[in-house]
Amino acid sequence: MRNPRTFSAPGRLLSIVGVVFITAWAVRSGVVTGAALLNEHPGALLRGSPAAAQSAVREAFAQGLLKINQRIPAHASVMVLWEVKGYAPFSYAFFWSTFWLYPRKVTVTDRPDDALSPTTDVFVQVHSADQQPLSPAGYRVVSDDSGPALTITTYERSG
Amino acid sequence: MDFTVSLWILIIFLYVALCYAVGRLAVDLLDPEPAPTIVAGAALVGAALLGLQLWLYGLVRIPWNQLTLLIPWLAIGAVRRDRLPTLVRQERQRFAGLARMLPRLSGLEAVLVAAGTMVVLAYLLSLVAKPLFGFDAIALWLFKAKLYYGQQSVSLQAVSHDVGRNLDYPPLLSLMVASLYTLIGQANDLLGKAVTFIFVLVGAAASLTALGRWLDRPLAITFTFVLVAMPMFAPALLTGPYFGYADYPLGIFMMLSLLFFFEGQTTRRATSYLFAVVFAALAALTKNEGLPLLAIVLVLLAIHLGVTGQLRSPQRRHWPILTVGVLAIIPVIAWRLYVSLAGLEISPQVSFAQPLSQLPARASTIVRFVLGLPRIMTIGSVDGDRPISYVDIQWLGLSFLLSGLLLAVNRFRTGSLVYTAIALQAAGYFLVLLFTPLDLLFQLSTAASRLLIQLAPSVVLMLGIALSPLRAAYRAEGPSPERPARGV
Repeated sequence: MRNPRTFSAPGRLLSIVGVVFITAWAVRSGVVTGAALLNEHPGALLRGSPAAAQSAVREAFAQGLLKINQRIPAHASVMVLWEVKGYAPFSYAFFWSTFWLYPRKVTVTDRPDDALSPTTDVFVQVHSADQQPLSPAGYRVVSDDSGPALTITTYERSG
Repeated sequence: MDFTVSLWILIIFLYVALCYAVGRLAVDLLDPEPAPTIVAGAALVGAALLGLQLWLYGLVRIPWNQLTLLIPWLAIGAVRRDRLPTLVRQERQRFAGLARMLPRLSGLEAVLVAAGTMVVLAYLLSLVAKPLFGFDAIALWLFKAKLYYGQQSVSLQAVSHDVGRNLDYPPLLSLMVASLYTLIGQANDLLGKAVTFIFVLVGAAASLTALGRWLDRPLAITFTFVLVAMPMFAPALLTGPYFGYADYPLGIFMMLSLLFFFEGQTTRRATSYLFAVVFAALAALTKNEGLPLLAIVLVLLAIHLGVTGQLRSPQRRHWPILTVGVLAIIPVIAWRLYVSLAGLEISPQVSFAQPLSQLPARASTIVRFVLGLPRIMTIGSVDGDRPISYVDIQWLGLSFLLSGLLLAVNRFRTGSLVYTAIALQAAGYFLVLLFTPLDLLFQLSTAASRLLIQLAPSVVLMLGIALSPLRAAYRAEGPSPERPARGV
């Protein structure tokens, strides 16, 4: 490192600019992040429950999966039929279903013909309100969550 | 009132404390009197070691549970019981020193420390209490944590057809989350995303410790406040879209690697060089973007050690340190081998089939998109307030420019290697975007702001490094009589 006493005037001036700059950045960070922080209502977060916050997310399918997760056996084989292509991409249905229903073996399809295999324990049909539920033979309805964007009908193998 | 959030916050603090204890034991094996910066990074060393330990257990079929995870560390503690009183005394002195410093802070310093602490606690609260909804967290990072924990091994065979999961991404972050699941005895997705908090704490502690030695205290506190409260980190730590993502952790690993690189240059401490390599290797085990960083750090380190003649006189006491450096890189090589042998490579991210004539237009698209990020990414617009940008691109750009000017005007060669590392890493991102065979606008819209999050901590650190010789000059001219300037 150079002898610190030999720095030039421009070097010293730039140093002052650097100090002013980082101070201004600190003020900016404090103001913007402070406002964002207050907007998060920390008191309510502290008093609330993470599970309740998760179930209040504004995505109907994500909410539905949390309910299904509570209702079906932990090691069931699950088939999800995704019939609402305009709602979200198929990849969304796949990743969300496999994540929230883990460790169950989950298969996701958008073709009704593929929907049921002999090993399927739980069948989840995600459809729009104007579509009829499939009501497959050998299955009984476990739940039917209807919303403006989509309806999630869950069936479990009877007997 | 529901006490779940309070309980989970306590669990995260206990997890951090455990990681710190493990990291401190590991650091003590290498260096009985480590530099304060190394101690500041100990919690992340511990967290990474617990994760890597699970990986090893999976390979040799040792079950993942609290007992198996903690027994090796209890055994190390028992074997080195003679050292424990010294370690405890050192830690007590460290925390007592911090406690003594607090009442001596100036008004402005106290305000920044209090505000920074509030922000850090707010991050923890949000990470614990808010919902999980980010695509990559659900599709990749936290899914893999749950998968590894469920299988008790790091294997992607069960999902080998799920190409959208970016199966070649390295396992460290998911393993760190899995180690938390192992400690609490269950996979808890909502708590798992709070593992990011350890990066906030270690990033702040290391910045405060290092910059406190290179600059004066008020400036070190100001830099650390920016590093903690930069609005750009809000999606990863406060508001939620990037909860559970690996970009912020990668950014902190990168910053720590460069911090130790510079510390090694200024002190010639072998352990500082070692931790520059260790944290670069951990970055490479966190996300693929860490791979070029590891290569850059190794090349620059070799150049630096060669030019300064430190390679010519390797001392016998340096061999254990060199061995650990090599050991740190082995998991990175092991992962790349696994990905290759298991056929998990995703399609190439770079293609030179682009017509050369399109490159200027593509480069212009990238630059315009990145410069336009502040207009796209805003907060505070929900209730009709004036939208505020949370992307600090102008600040990051100016900061990096200013750092370059400071280095050039003051001919500060020691700092120029870290600057080169950041510039090469950023250039690498630019080139990958320039030559990507995928849809450029889609890549930019999904990745640009996160790439900036990866670079941001290092850019802030760089300005601190660039200012360090001149601050030393002011200090050399004599401290102010009212309040001695000194490190934290």
